[in-house]
Amino acid sequence: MSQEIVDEVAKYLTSNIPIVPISQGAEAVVFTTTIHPYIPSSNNEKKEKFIIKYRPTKKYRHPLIDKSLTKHRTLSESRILSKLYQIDGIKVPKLIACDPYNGCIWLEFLGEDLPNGFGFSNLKNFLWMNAKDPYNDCVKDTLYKVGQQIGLLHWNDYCHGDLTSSNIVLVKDEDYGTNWIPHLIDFGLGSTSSLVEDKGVDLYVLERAIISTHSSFADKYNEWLIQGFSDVYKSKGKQGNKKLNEVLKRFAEVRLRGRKRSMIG
Amino acid sequence: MGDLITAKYSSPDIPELHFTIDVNDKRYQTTNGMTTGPSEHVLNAGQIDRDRPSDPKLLSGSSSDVEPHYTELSKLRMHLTGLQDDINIFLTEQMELAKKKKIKLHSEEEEKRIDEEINELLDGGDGDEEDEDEGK
Amino acid sequence: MVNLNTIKPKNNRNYYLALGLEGSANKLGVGILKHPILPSHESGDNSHHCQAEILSNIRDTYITPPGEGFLPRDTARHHRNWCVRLIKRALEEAGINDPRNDIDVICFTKGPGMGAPLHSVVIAARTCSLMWGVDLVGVNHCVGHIEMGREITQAINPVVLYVSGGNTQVIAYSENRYRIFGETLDIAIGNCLDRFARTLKIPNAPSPGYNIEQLANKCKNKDQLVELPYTVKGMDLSMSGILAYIDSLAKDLFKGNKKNKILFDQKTGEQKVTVEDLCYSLQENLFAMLVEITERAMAHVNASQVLIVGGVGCNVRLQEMMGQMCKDRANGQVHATDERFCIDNGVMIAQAGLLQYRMGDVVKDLKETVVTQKFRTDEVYVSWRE
Repeated sequence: MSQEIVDEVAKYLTSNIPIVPISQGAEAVVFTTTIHPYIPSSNNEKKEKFIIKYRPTKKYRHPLIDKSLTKHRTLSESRILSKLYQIDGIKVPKLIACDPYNGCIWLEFLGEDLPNGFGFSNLKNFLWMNAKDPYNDCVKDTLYKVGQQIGLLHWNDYCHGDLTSSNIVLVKDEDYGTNWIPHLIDFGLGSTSSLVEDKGVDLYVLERAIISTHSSFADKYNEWLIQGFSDVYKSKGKQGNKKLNEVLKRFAEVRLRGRKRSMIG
Repeated sequence: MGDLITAKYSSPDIPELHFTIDVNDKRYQTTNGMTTGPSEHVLNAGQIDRDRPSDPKLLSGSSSDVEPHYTELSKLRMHLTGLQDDINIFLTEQMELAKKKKIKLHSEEEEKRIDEEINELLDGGDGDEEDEDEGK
Repeated sequence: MVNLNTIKPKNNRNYYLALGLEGSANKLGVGILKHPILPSHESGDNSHHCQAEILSNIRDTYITPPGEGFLPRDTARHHRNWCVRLIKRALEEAGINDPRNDIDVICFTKGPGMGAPLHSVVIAARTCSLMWGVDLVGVNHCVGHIEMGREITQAINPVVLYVSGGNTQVIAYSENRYRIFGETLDIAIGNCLDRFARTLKIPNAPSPGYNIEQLANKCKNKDQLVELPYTVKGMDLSMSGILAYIDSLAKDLFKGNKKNKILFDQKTGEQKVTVEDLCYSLQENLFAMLVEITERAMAHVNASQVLIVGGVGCNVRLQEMMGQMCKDRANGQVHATDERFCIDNGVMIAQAGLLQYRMGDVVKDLKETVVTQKFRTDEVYVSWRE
């Protein structure tokens, strides 16, 4: 990430809050810090880490567009996260603080580093790590659980808006050491929506992300994701089955639209 | 001079049809066809047609006043232009016929669909798609 | 292992010559391209570095009166009646007297594009092939843009933003395919601009998008913007809603509908927004969306280079915004080409086609030369890259 952006963040946070950059997404830069925004640091004996997600000024776009997008997305992400955190079964990071005008939120830190230099434990790196044995039980179990998370999200009428394998963080299951618990992150394009269309598009975006990033194994991976997704709906009885059919039908339509879209030079 | 060009149309519905040309007929003596001009629509919008096919080339020494003699390639182009007109006129008739038949048999919706399909074919489509082209 | 040198050029020459024919939309392009045989092409991923020499690159555009789009049958007629003249001129400019012996391969656009114009051009390609006894290669138009862009800019493995009248896609290479990461969910960016230009009844020459760009430059009040919907969906985007909205604003402006409070001051009745302001706001909004989805794809695949191709890619403001985005990313670089290569042309078809030819991919039966309106970028197996 460019020094200019690091300086911009450091200036905003002041020197009292040391930060370590960890990633630059498209929209936001992510840092870790050991400072909690309002609990005195003397209480943080375990040296617990926190995430600071900062949306830097995008100089390429008009200041008016930039201001309005930054504010809108920071606020909406915070709202969605805090609501999702309260829903049983849904795994998202806990929101600690939010400053919409400066495009900054503080979150609990999730995930870890994968062994052998495979990087941070998001789904993308995890799948790449398993590329030599792509269909092992752990991969299957993880993808099924990812599907369940999306199922729960949609069942509660939320849409993610940007589902990719980088936006799913895996956290080690403390009870079963080898298992992973997927957490959904990055709700900057998230929304509440009861529209079948939005859910269909959400699933389509994820399917395409899997196809383009994990091409060779995508068929099986997408199948497991949809299994997990479907089982959430099926567990909700008759109503669930009906809604599931609607969503899957629309998903198929969106996919067809995508393939058939004319591509005139 | 070689053989004159011909065309053949075959379909399960009608007997095979042969298109031939008559070199003395005016329609086979031009490179500017009746059915291959610009569409009315753009002309009405003020289009100046700069995309005309070039005129046939006279053999050197020949004059267009008396009896003109054209190069072989230009003759072929003229023959082709007339033959293409014949085919276009025939195909348009066939489409009109098909449309009438279908209207009798089907609802208005069908008719619209067939119209669209015909347009699609006229625009050189594959005949199995229904999307919007850029220019419309 | 990729070896681009297994197929030898004709007559023991130490270079290849390809003729490229493009006519998938309203531009007819004919180009002749030369590749020297390079030792570096015997193995490795060097298809972006062919030292291609452009011997000719000729284009003629079918232009309609202001307010009108181009209909397939008129566009096809334009191509039909200009194709031979353009091929002759291209051969002459390249100094080729004997195409039978000098040209290794004829490359044509197989799709995607408008059916009728594609048909017109492929007939010319087949005729030349039969007449001269030269091999044919069918090329995917989008892959043509990408390969030309890579060759000109030397970008090795960029994220590609492909923006034209018919396409809006964010593409990245992986495992022998150009994979589509994001794209428009409805209309293409160029189509959006063209249609707005028609509403404004501004000229279609040299291109509607160019004229919108010029109007946007003339906007006097760049601090202000007319607020438009911002519709990014993950790495995809949609534009039809924006077009419908700005179209309605333009119509209200022309009608002088004083009730519209965005356009007219409700107290004084004074006009607040001009056509130039609308063009400026539209560009700022659409391009911000394009740059954003490009940056998303870059972040996703860890790329640092961007290549902009397609007709809308010559827009200076778009290039500037993309450059600014790249500046803020570590080692970010933006690559773009000028109108000779951005706008549809024959040379790009020759470039992609010659790479295919050098990998042994030629038409074996004329049946394979049937053109197709739909031909997705990721359908092509990219044999010339690792």
